[in-house]
Parts: sequence; structure tokens; C-alpha cells
Amino acid sequence: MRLRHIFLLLVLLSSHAFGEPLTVFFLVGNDPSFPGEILDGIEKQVEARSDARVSKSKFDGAFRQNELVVAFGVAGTKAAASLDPRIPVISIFVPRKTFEEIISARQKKRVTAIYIDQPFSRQMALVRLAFPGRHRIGVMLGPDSGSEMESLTKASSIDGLQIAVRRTSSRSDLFSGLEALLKESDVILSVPDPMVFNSETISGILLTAYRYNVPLVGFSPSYVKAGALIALYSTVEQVGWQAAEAISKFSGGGVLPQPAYPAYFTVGVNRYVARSMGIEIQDEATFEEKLSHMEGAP
Amino acid sequence: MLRKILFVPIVLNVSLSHAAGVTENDFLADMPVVLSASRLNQPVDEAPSAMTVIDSQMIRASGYRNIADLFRLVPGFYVSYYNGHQPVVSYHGMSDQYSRRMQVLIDGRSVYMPPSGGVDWSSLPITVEDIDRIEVIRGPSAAAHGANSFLGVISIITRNPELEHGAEVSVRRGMDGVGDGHLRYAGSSGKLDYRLVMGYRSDSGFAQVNDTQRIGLANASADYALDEADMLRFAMGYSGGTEGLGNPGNAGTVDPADPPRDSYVTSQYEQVKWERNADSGNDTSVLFYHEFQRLTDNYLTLPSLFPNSAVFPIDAGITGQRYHLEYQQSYSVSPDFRNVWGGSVRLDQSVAPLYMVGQLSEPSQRVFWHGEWHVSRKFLVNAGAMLEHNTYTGKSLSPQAAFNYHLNRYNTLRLGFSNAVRNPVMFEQMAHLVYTLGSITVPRFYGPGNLLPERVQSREIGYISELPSYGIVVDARLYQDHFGDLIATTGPAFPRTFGNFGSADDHGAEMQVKWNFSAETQLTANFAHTIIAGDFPETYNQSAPKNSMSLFAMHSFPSGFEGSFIYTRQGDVRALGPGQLIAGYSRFDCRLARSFMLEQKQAEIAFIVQNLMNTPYSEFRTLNVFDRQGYVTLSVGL
Repeated sequence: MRLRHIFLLLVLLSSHAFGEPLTVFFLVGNDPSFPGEILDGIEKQVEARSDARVSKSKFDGAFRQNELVVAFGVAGTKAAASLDPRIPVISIFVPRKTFEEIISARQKKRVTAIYIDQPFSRQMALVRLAFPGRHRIGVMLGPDSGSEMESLTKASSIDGLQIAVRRTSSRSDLFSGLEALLKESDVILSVPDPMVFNSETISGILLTAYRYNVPLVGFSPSYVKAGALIALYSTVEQVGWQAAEAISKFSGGGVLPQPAYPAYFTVGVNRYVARSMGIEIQDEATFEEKLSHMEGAP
Repeated sequence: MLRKILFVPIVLNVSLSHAAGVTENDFLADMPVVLSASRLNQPVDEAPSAMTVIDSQMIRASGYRNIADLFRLVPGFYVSYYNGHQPVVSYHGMSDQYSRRMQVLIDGRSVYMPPSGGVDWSSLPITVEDIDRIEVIRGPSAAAHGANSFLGVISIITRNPELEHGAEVSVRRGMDGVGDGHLRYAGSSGKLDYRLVMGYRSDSGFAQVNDTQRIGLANASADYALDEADMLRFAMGYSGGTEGLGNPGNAGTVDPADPPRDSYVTSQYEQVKWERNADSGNDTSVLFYHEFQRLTDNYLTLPSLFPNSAVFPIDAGITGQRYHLEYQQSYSVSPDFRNVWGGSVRLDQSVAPLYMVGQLSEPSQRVFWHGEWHVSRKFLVNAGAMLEHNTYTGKSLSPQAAFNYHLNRYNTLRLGFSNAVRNPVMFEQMAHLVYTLGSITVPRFYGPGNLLPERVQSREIGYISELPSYGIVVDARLYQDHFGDLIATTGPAFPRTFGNFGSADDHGAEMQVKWNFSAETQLTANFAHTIIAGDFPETYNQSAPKNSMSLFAMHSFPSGFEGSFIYTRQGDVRALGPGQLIAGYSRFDCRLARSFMLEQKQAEIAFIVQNLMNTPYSEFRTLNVFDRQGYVTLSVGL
């Protein structure tokens, strides 16, 4: 017994001396349905790629030195927003717009994020690479995505693309709006909005776009599986890398990185759909390389 | 303390969840596989056969109210009318009033019926308004489309309940007694999408023929998503009404053995399909359907038939039905190598006391496979076969192969080889058409019971040119078909007996040019040159016009006006059976439509004039004179 106590004391002392490993707590807020495999995947990457260790216990909300919270999703971010303002938080799997609504400018000093969405600039660049000759990008905006108009226009002007926008406020005029949009678009860029894109509407959207022979750019691997020709997204593993880097940065200097879009990303292509639409498309790795290169990655 | 901290956001979250809008769930949600393997079309330049698609825009712009008329827009098709309610749709001729050498599918349901093998277009429980698109395969394609895909395949796809919402009502009134109505409601409830239709169509047909029709119909379809991968699709429909019959005789006189009268037709179907869509390369489906058609035709011969003024009752009723169960699997090794295989069992039944003895049942089974292999970027092989078995004719094999070579990005050459069989229909095989008028019997037709299937050997060279920057697609083909064991009757004297008497050669050229000039302007041109050389006893040679063409143009004006015209021209033709020599004709049809808001509802009014120049011509037989006809359609979205 005594020996063990002494050993524990030694461990504690030594970790102070050499920089005690950071303890990371996962916070999902009141959303018990947040997918367990994502939590496991992030834990694996954080432990493999940073010196931090992920606590198995539930976060008690108390501030302690050498601890950091990784908040998952919107519910986790909301829970994080009301924590002790001294507790550092990295919010992941949260859409940028929603994050900015939840987290005040003041809170951003201690709450950072790796957004779940990809920057419009990257999406536009992908459209340019994947569909040369298709310049008219159609976007269907709903009540929750309406405010993205400005960012979209800005991103498209840099790439010399034209944006056509239709807005919908109800499911009943979604499809008439979509048909009108398809007539003036070469590509449909999907912008998340639960009113526009959900598991009930996706079928009609993909079928209609397919009928017009207009490819759809999705924002998750499910979209590629469903029939989107191409999608840009970050895998759990990739988010985990970036989270591990942010944790390492914090444990190195006590500073969190700024909220950011995913640094690592994946392009998914549905070759069956491409072939059927008669669209020749390069392979996924080529797009990923080119996009990374364009963004100045090593 | 801890509870307090965690409790507050819980409450907040509930109130914010709607305001916050986009969450990670939008990104992480599973989605159903929508563009599944069987929903993905082959691009035109990769298909094993020549194909024509008539889409919903073209259907609407055509202004046609009879489904059969739409085939005027397909090269090599001959559309005619045996009477006002019996259109004859045939490809490359070789058809009497029952065009029995084609497969016709509606949502995968085979609607050519025992015992005649023809399609009763006018009693189908669907309307033109219910059709989303029609795909026509020109040439035999049994490996991919099943039994009877002998000269070609018509595949009608009805509107998808997922893509329509709300109600729409349309009414049509016009010359020659045209009076149609159509009411549609589409909606969704959770994972169920449904579409309900009630319709009515009526017209008085040709002036000199007793062929007035009044048909009421209803149909419903519903798609239910069991989960992300599984889908159940239900469909059913019913139609019923009266159709005028009676042979008016050549001089417009009344035939006492076939007097003017009303017959009653009903048609119904029930269909259920289960689909499992793993991804865009793999899916599985099980389809079951039942199709039922009945003609009730009890009449008395006229006293003038016999010197003693005796009258006799005739029951010329025909009932046919079909049960069909089919399994199909699409399986992809990679996007470069895809397979579809499956099998089906079918039971065809018919009762037609005047024409055949007793109830006839014909069980049949088939298995099929076809594969698509991209050997290289330039070279594609399509191959497949169907093995079929039925009680009367035993086993038969229909193989098919096509080689597509992309000369470059825009030009493709196709070589196609196909063998197919057509099994004799019940009437050919088992006919026993004998009029019994008291003590007098008048034998007319007999079936020998041992007929062999007809065979066709088809070869073609196709060329497809796509110029996407101009919106032009050209599809041309040269073909040569050799037919053997053709089923025909000895004639002209009665009684006649069916036999495998004839052979014929058919060769020709077809071209189709589609020019999507802009989103507002579309043009289509079709040309066909058909030469048939056939043996006695049937006069196959004239059964298709030697030359035919159709032009279609449509334009939408920004003011809400939409105009379209169709020009068709064809040479002399003499259909088989009761077909008479019909001189070639040309005809202009046009439609002018205007969309507007009617008390805040989207509405459209359309004026249609057919045979605009009023140059009367005959359909199928000289008596069926078609002159200028006009009607107005008003539709309002509710």
C-alpha cells in the first residue's frame, strides 16, 4: 500500500515537471444519440496523434488546469457555451453558421471550432475541377440557409462562376423551384438546410436533377451513396487529426487555434451516376491533391 | 452544481433547436439510395439498341390525348386506327389490327394481353397525363425486356408520386365528341408518397364508324420507404366504359352479322414491388402483378342476315388475365462491369367462348441475364440472353450482343446482333372461331395447337453523334432483320388455319435528330426507310410505309405562351388482316398554350388542332377518315 502511494506521488510530481498530459473530456450535451462510432473515432485519433488522454468519465463542469473539453455537435456546443468561462473548448461536428449563433464573440477566446461544413471556396474550386465547362451553379436555399447567399456569391466571384439561386419556404414549392433552378444551372451545389435537404426530399431532388442531367454536389458520403455525383466532406478520422493538432497546440502554449473549416477533406464520387450521365470524371485522389495544392498545403 | 450547469442547456436546446436550423444531423444523416442500379439509364451511346425517349415535356407539348399517337414521334413506328378506340401501334409493320410483335410495359408490367397479344390502348387505366416518360427500344431486346420483345419494346414510366404535390384538374372539350377530364392528387405522409387519379375520356371516333367510346378510370400509386435501402411500391388501376363496335361494311352499310352496338370494356391491374437498393451498382427487386381485361359483347344478329329473318345471339366476349412474379438483381463488379439477372414465372389465362374452347391457361417461366462490360475507355460490350419455357412451344433462347466503339468523345459506332422469338398467342395456337347460328355453323379460324414460335435474327449498325455544346444528338442505324416461321393463316377462303408459313426480310435505315436549341426551343426529326420482302401468304411487303418522317418543334415564349407543331408524313401502307391499302399522307398538328394565374392558382389553357391543313386521309381502312380536329384543354393546379 505504501509503495503504491509513493509511486502515485512520483507520477504526479514527474508529470508536473515534464508537462502533465492534458486530459480531454468529451461533451455531447443533451444529445445522447450522437453517434458512438464518431466519439470512438475521435478518441482514437486524439490519443494517437497528441499527448492528451481522453477521460472515460463524464465531465463534471468544474474548471481545472490541464483539462480541455471537446464538444460534439450543436448540443455539445450549446452545453459548452454555458460552461465556466475559463474552460477551453474545441467544438467539432458543428456547422459554422450555427456555431456563430451559439458562441458569442467574447466566448471565442476559449471556445474554438472545427466546422463540419466545407468552405464555399473549396466547393467552388471542386466544381471548377470536376466539371470544366459547367459555369452556372444552382443553389436551393431554405429558411436556414438563406443567409449564405452573400458568402456564396463572394466565393463564386473569385472562381468566375455564376450562381443561380432559388429560395423555398415550404416543401410544396421545393420541387417547382428546383425545376426552375435546374433549367438555369449546370451543376447543383447542395447547401445544408433541413427544409431543403432531408431524407424525405433527397429522393425527389436527385431524381429531378438526374432527369435534367445536372450533377449534384453533396456534402456528405451519404449523398454520394444516394446518387449525388460528387461530394466534399471530412471523415471522422480527418476531423480527429485536426482536433489532435488543436489539442497539441493548446497543450504546447495554452492557446487555442481560431475556429476553422476542416483542413483535411475527402472527395467522394459516384462513378455509376457519372457514367450514366455521360460525365467523365477524374478519380477522387486527383481532386483531393489538386484542391490541397490550390489551398497551399504542402 | 453539476446538474444545474447541465440542466440549463437542456432547456435552451429545446427552444433553440428550430431557431438553430442546420445541425450536424444534416451532415451525418443516412440517405436512401435514390439513383439505384435499375434507375440509372444507360447513356444513349452505351446502350445495346437504338432507343427513343419521349419525355414529359414532349408529351405535354404534343397535345396528343391518346397514348398511341405519341409513337408518331418515334422513327419506324406506324400509328393507325382500326377504329376510333382501337389504335394500332406497330414498328416495322407486320401488324394487323392487333399489333402482337412488341413488348409493351407500364412500370415494368407487361400489358400486351392474351389471347390476342395486342394492347388495348384505349382501355388502359392510365392517361397521357399520368405518363412521365416513354422509352422505346427499336429492335429485338428480349434479354433485357422479356417475352415478346420481338420487333421492339415500349416501356411507359408513369409519374413518380414523390415528384408531384397537390391537386391538378384538367378538362378537354372539342370536335368529334371529345370530352375528357383528369383529376390528380399527390401527397405525402411521412415515408409514404402517393398519387391518386380519376379520369374520363370520350369521343365519337370516326364519322362513318360506330366507335364512340366513354371510359372512366381511376388509378393510384404509393411508395413507402421501409428504411434507407428498402422501398415498397404499390400501384393499382381500374377502367370501365362503353365502346361502339360493328362492322360498317365497305360502302358504309350495316353488316347484319356484325351490327352496330355498344360493348363494355373493363381493365384493371394490381402491382406491388419491393426494392432493395444497396448502392448505385447493386439492387434487388421482387415484382408481382395481376392484369385483367374483359370485353363484354353480347349481341343479336340482324334479321336481314337470313331470308327467314331469324336472329341469333352471339357472345363475342373476351376475358384475359395475367399473373406475373419476377425477381431481378443488378450486380456490379465495378462501374466497368455490371450485370442484371433474374427470372420470372407467369400465368396467362383467357376465356373467349366465341374464339376458343373453354378456359385456356398458359404457364411460362423465364430466366435472363445481361451484362455491360467497359473493356476499355473506347470499347463497350453488352451481352445477354433470355431462356424461356412455355407449355405450348417448349424452350427457346433469345441471345443478344452489342459492341459500342467510341470513335471519340462525340461519336460512337454500334454493332448489334440479336435473336428473339415470339411465342404464338392463344388465339393463333388454339383458335376455334365458329359461328353457330341455329343449325348453321360458319367456321372461320382454327389454331393447330402445335405452332412453333416465330423467330427473328436482327443485325444492325448504329451511329450516335452527340454535340453537347450545340445540344444535338443524332442517332442513326442501318438494320437487317430476317424472320422465320412467321405465323399466318392460309387464305383468303374460310375457314383459315394458323400455321408457321411465312418468312420475311426487312431492312432499312432510321435516323433521329434531337436538337435542344435552348431551354426554350427544342426540335426533333425522325426518318425511317423500311423495305419488307415477305413470302406468301401475308402481304408483308406493304405492311409498313416505305418512307416515313416526323418533325416536332416546340418553343416557350417568355410571356407564358408555348407553341409546338408536329409534321408527319408517310407513304402508302396496307396493314395485314382487314387492313386496306391506304394512300400516303402528310399531316400538321399544332398546339398553342398559355399559362396564367387563375385566382392565384397556376393554370394553363391549350388549343390543339390536328390535321391543320384539313387534308382528309384514311387510317387502316378507307372508311376511317381523319380530317381536321380541334380541342381545348384547360388545366388548373389546385
